[in-house]
Amino acid sequence: MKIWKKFTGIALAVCMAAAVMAVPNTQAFAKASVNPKKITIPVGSTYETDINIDYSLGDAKVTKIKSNSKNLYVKQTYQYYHDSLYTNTEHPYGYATLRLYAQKPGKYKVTFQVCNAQGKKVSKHTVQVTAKEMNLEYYHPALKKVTFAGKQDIFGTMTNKKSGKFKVTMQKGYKLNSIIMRYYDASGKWVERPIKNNSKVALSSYAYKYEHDYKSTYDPSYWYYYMSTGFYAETSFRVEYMNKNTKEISVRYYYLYRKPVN
Amino acid sequence: MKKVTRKVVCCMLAIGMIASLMLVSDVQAEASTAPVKAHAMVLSQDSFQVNLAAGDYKIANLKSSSKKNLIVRTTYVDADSSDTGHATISMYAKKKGKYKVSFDVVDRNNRVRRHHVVQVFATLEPAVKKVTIGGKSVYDAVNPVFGTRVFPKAGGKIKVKMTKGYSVKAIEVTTYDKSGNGVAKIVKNGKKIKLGQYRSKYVSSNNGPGYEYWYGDLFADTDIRVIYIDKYTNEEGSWYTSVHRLAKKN
Repeated sequence: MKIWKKFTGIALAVCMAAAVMAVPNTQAFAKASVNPKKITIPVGSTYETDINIDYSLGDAKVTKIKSNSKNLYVKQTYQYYHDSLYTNTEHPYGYATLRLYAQKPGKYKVTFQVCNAQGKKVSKHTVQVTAKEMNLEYYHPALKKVTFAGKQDIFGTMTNKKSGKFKVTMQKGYKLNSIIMRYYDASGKWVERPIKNNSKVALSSYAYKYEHDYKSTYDPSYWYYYMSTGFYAETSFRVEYMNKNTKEISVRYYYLYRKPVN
Repeated sequence: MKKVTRKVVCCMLAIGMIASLMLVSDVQAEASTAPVKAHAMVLSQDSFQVNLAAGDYKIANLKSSSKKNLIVRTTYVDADSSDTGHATISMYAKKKGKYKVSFDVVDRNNRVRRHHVVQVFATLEPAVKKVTIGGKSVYDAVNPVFGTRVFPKAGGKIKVKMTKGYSVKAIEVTTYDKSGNGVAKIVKNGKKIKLGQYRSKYVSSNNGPGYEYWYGDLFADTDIRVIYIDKYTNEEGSWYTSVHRLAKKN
């Protein structure tokens, strides 16, 4: 019995020691998340050419940022690192941004490292970049073409058109979530109503207007008058869309103006 | 002094006092003011201000000499019975040309207190026509370029060409130093300048162990601000552009 006891005792001690040693002496750090890992950007533009790096616990800096070509220029443009956890934010441990600029079309690779506060490398990353010549006048990474009454250049201008079809064509990889039409109606009320893509709608002819005419009851010779109104009768379209890959939701507004009747 | 002389002097002084009192009450009456000339850019919204006197109530009978080509609208009124106020008249020109905008400033009884006529000159061309550095185009109003371009030269003579009717008052050039801070200089039109080599960078003063916050531009920018005189209205205007270069490390 004595031998058994000794044997069991030693076996248990060995198990305990093994268990203690099995617990890693450094905390297991999750890898920094990079988004997007693949990006297509227009040549000669910095419009929507950012790479976002979300830090995880322990990440502190981005280092050794390299492009594999002199035709793709990359620099870190934002750094926010804090070693304590922030709640109520998309980036609980901070984040960094890299911005790209392609001088020529082609396929490129951007590599970088994320290291901890002591300067030790924690993770390595590669981002694939495709740079294409794009017509920048109407370029948008998600919204390929947006028209009203068949015109792309009508937004942001004054129009005589009373109605037309509002049409959105998405780029590959993006999904249209909703279109909401917004305007002031004849009674001065603000209206927001969802509409179907490529449906015919009537534009508003009413501008925002606020008027206040005050006359004192004690002293009828004292009064003041205040009026504020928009120059245009504005109709706006709120376009909400989603990146199918990252599930990120974004919003863009398109405006049309008419001469107001009020 | 002889009695007659005294009487004459007293009468003259009395007349003088009454006359000066009457003059003072005439000068006190205020009226609304508006600019004599205004400049409008075609296909964009412009406006001018009307200064209202106490008791001025509304803008009435607002008219444009061309209902079709210059649309006008009163977009703001702040009027008071006992204090000065102001109003904004906004305009939208569809075609280049010279127009007349007329309106009345009325009181609460709809009586016209003052009638105004503003000459509006609607132009197609923006104030700054072309900007070159070392012979290379930075900005060209006639041939706009979309997107961002890295400027091909490290420096050169800056030449600002204005549209007819505008003149350059001053050119302010800002570059950024190694710490990312802006350094501004006034330069003469035609002077040789060296473009910035470092990017603008903001670094938080709270940086230390466990915390780091900064942000910076992608390019080394040279910011150019042109202060000009609109000879039509005699007003000063400001125009701004930025020239980009690949940045040195900072």
